[in-house]
Amino acid sequence: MKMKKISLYILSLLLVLCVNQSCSDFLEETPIADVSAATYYTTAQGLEDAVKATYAASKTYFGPERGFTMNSFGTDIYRVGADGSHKGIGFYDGRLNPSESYFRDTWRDFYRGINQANAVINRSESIEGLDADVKNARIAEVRFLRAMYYFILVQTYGDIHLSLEETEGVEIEANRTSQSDIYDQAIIPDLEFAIANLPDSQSDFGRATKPAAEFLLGKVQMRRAYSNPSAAAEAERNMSNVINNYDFALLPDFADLWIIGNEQNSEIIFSIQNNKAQVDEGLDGQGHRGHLYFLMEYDRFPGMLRDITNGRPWKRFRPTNYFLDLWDRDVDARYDKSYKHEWLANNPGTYNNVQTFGINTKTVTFEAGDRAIFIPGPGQDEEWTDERQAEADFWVITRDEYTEKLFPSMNKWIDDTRPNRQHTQGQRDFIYMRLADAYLIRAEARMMQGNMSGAAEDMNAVRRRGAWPGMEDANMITAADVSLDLLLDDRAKELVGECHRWNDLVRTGKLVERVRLYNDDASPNIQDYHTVRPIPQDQIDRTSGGYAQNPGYPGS
Amino acid sequence: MKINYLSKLWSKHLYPLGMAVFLMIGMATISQGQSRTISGTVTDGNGDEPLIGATISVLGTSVGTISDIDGNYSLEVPNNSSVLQVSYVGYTTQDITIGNQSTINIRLLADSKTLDEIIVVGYGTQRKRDVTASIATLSSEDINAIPVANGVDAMKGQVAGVDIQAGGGRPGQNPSIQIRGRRSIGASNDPLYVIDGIPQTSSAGEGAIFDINPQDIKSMEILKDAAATAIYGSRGANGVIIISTKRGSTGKTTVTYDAFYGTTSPTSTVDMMNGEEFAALKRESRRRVGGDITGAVAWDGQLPADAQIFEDAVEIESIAQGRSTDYQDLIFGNGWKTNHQISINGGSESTQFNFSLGYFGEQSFISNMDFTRLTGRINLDHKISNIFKTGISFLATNSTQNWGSDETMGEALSNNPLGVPYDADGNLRFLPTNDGIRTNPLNELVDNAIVDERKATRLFAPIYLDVNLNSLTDGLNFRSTFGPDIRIRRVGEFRASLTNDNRGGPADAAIENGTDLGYTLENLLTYSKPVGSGTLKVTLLQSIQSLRDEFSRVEVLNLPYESQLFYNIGTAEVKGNLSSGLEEWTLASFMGRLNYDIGGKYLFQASMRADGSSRLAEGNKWAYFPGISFGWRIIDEPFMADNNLFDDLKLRASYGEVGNTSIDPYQTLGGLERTTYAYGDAAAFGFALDEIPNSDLGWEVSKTIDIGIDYSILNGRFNGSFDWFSTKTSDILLARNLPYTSGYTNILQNVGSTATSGVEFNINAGVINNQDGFSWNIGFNIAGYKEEITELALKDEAGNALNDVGNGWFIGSPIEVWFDYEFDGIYQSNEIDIASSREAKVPGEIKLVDQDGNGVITPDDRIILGSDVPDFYGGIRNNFSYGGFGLDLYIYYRQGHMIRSRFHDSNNSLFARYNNLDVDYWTVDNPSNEAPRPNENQERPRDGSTLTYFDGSYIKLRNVSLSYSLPTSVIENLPVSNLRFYISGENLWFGTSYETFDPEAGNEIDDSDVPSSRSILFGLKASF
Repeated sequence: MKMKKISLYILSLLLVLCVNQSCSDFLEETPIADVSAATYYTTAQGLEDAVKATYAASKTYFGPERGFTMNSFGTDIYRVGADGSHKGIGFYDGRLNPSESYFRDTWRDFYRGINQANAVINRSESIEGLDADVKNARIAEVRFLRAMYYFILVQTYGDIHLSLEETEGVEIEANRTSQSDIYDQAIIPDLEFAIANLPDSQSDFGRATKPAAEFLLGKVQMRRAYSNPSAAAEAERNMSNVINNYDFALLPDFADLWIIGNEQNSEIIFSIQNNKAQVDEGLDGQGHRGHLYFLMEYDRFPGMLRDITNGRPWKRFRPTNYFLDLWDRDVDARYDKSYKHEWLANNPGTYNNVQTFGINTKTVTFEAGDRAIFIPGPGQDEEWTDERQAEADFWVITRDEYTEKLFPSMNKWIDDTRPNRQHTQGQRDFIYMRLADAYLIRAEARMMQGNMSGAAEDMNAVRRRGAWPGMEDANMITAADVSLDLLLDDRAKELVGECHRWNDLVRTGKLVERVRLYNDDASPNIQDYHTVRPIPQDQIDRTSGGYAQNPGYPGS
Repeated sequence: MKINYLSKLWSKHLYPLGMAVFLMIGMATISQGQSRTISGTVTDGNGDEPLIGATISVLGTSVGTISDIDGNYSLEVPNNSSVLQVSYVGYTTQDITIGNQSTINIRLLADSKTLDEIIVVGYGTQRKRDVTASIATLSSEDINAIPVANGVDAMKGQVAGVDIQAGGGRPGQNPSIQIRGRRSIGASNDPLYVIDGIPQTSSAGEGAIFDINPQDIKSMEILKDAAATAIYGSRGANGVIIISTKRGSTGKTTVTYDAFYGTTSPTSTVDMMNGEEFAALKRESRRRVGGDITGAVAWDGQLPADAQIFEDAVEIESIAQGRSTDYQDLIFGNGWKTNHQISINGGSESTQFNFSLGYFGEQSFISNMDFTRLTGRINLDHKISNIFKTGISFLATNSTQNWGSDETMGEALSNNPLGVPYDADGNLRFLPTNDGIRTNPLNELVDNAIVDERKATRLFAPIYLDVNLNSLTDGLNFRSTFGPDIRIRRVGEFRASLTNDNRGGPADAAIENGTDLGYTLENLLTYSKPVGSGTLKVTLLQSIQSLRDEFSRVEVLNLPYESQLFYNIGTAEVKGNLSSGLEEWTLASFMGRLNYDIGGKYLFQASMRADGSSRLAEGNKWAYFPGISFGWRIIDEPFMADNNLFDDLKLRASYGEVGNTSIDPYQTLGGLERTTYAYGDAAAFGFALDEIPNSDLGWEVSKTIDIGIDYSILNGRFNGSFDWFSTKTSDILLARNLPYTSGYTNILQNVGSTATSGVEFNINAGVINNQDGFSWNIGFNIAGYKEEITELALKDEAGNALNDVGNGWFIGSPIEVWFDYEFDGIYQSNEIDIASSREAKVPGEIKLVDQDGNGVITPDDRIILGSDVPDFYGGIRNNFSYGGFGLDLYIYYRQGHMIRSRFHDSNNSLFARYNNLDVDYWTVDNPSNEAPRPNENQERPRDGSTLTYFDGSYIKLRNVSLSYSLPTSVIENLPVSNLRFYISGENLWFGTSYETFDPEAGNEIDDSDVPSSRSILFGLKASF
């Protein structure tokens, strides 16, 4: 009896022990919530998602403050505003150094995008059940993107690391390949492949197309042409393809380019895509943030409150006087279609003892919609004498009163569809390639080949559209007028705020010259070596055996 | 649904239970029977000296007294009492049968008293005399000596080698703990908590110990060396803390009520600029060529006229009136802290119970921060038969932390003191100046402006079954323990329109829910048998453990009306981010241990554990962790027989290997990251490469040698221990930074080794124990360690380890060091040329040390400035007692570590848009070397980080408590068996050279941190 009882106990013990599953099953790790490359990138769906991720790698640069800062600060047309950091980029002083986070993040994010593209290209071979045409098209898209990312890196940093293979395992070495090798081995072959394999247009708006690849190759060749003049013809040929072979056309009214809802227009060749639902819901943490940076501090004036329509003024970038002096506003409509002149009261009431610009204090009353602030802008400041300003029932800001906080506000990117006035992610697509730019690049290529009348023709195509109705002829130039400086001025007027300026100046060899002449912040400091950015210190510190710094910077 | 279920559970089952408890208290107080008096004298067994303050109690009851100045006692005992227990510090406790005696004189024999104390060692218990590892014990008296919110705070300063640092000043913020320093870079350095036999599936930060009411804790054992922790194998690397909760005892039911209440206030405020100082700063920051605001910025320019500088009517008015606002003064109010606990303990021969209910509440001195915790505990043990015994330790905890606004403190510090927080009607001005960024910190404190409510509910219920297998063979026992652990957490967030987050934009809200389901199943077989002159003990363990953690989070924007908080988020106009996740891990283990002693004099222990972890790569999942230790009781050697000094002396030596897999699951697989894109209006979400798969990820192993001495001299008047240890950790798991050109930023890898060695010393001294009944005891402990990296992935061609600058890891230095330029004052007006040539600066900017003397500042001039490793740390406890009075002083100190003060990043920018620390900044007329020139054109000074490194050393008077226990003569007439009152002051004083907040807040102090609190508490403890 007793032994039987004991046996029962032991049996119950064994039962407890047997609760355990077999050990190897028990310890197996099965991620349910997450996917891995090893399982997902082997499917057709996975490849599609990997391609989408390659596009997404552009979003931390095109749209947020970083891209705007690196391409606006320290140029001949824009200088430093009151708020924000990263001002060394605008001053070219000691703060522009290898620790500057914008240079680090740009480097990091585009190499991430390149590795993503490499993964798609390398892995696409072994995916079963994938239609060969689809595969080819997708590879062409990511090769387009890889070329674009390398091109941005080369323009920014000069000689850099080149890898066309996906990183597998721990990679702590990095090479330094010359710019020309990167053009020859990566950018140009990638774009030629893309041109050969991409369709003229895509049903998914925003995917790379053949004209986008031609445009990019044209721009690449234009850049190369300054060291290798024979490339100018290539640049012209590619841009001619873009201009002639498709249905692209300049919009009749320059202002229509900036209408939200008109983002898929006949002038757009390639844009980085933002989606209203995604930016509003925070699924897209980036979005188009250009609406923040070019605005002056309107919201501290009597009668004004910050609101969605007028925007959230971060006052990062302030136009240079040189840029403002470029305009003949009687002829050229583009200033008035890019800049805001007046702010209407949205905070009605009576304001006592208001004091501004050292003018006498006074009491003012605003009804909603009354003009509260007025910036006459270039060419019209003279009409507003101090006496006339003092008599006005609103605030007038003329050039002698411009400061880092008060300046003409660029309105191209204003986004009044944001869900609330604090929301930073805007829904605009980031326009990276548009037809006007194609004309201007072709003008540059033609000029370099001595075809001044061809260049004038292209510049006039853009000028004609930019003129007030009836003033088209007055806005035209002749072949004799064509010069590199005039071309740069035209690019400034057409493309201000579109993140081309710094590269335009570097490409044309005009950065140091024009910044010294026209940018008061930067002129004392800029040096010849500033035409490339410093290699990020993290890259140098983390690379086995180090990584050479660009000349001129600390540690070089 | 789960929360609903729990609230039902509470109302249906737990609430009646609580009522029952109250009824029982009532009954206990009236069940007093007839009694008689016995008396006698307690003397020292050697010299007939009277022993003052010896405790005489009747076993199984709460009746007791202490001997008076002549050693006399008198005691009323219930009629049915049979055994008197007499105890005194340093003497062997005696049990005496009362019988018919009315006078009982007692001679106590001096003893190495603590040696027979039973302590918990992990999968078993040992007499302290037999312990061969480095284990510290805290009794419930130690834990409850001062009022604390959690068990970790109770340990602080009391155990050598246990480094505890406050987590911040918010109520319910948990401290961090490190035992014997840090070993790992990539994995956690949290110790493993074992509660009522169950290794916790959660880390400290996720609950583990902080859900336990400290008054429910019977003892805490801190296992420090690897021989002790090796039986916990893969989870023992950071030390193990074993917590045993109070269990029932046979005999009379006792009811204990324990409570305190007190007020709290901030320990320190920060010296920011007042209005006048700020105005001067703002003027100075605007020096321009020609003194015109539109001119160029120049360090040696002139100050523009005030009319150009001050654009805000409020500023102008404040300057004219000499008005200034001290926002810190406005946001700090009075806080309070309270605790109530009732416990009932008793049982019969077959069933024992311990019930308790606890409430802890703390209201911060910042009005929207508070913490409440309710705990209920049922510990039951029941003997089914001579073979089976079963029991449960059931814990239910519910806590709510109102985190408050992260911006209150930051805004109070940053707001322009020339601003005005109230309008003429006394209403809050949302923007105290016209600067749109700086909002009124008082708006954060408006009721329901900011809600960040963090609720956690936990059910933890280990159940055991003991099987006595003596019938099979003597000394054989089996225990199976199953420990389910359910944790439910909910975070509700709401930010109204008028808060710093929304700045007048519409309100937003978020809800987060998470559930952790963990369980542990352990089967333990023990066998002991006398062999030769000693006893052989064998312990075998099989165990599995699993955790499943799922969570979801919903965020919405643009709420239509604010009163809903986060309770009707479906009405929001804009749906925000949605997220959810699932994480699972499992651990399977086997362990065997052998103990043997020769004549109680030579002690051996050897153990081996095998652990398999799901988190590691296939093929590397299993590892083996041996431990061996040896003890030599020198005191028991014949040659020590005649010594008059020592009454205990033991040498311990041990070696053990332990592992660490405290890494997030799924790291071996190479996860993808969701990306956002669109094609036109159509979403185009993708998946991007995010982590490099690491199929080689394996265990991180620490090997520790420990040599220690336990000593006791002069009849136990001085006792303590000394330990030396050396740990070598190899294959450390580390998130290693990669060059960005790889396409990745880092990878988790087993690379590199660290070495840590240190010493620990503690002593308990009975300084005075005089005949007048006055005693003074000191407990002192000190520990220090050195930590260095000995190997890293990078090697030169000869295979020598190289520094990894990109990760801030340096051979021979601790893991966490600050590698930066060194501050060398400020460039003065006559240093224009050198400022320009060395680092492209101008006078008034920060001067760096040119370490290599090459005349320019380059990245090569960065050096290791310091580390967060202290030189030494520890605590001092002084205890004075006289009659029923007791005075306790706790001092805690930590010396020689560095703080990287993020606080200074934010508050010493000299940008002159926001308020600033009141520093002596440089101007062209004030050649200071302390801080650079104010400059409105930079949000922070160049190389401003060099101004943020501070010596973090401090010494703190952590607690002073004065207590009074009612004498027996008074107690006799009351329906209580014990009554003690106390007043306790916490955080009354600290000394430090870091002059902002309390430096005890981790190694990087932030300005969203709130100051630590000082409190004065009144408490009482009564037993019935």
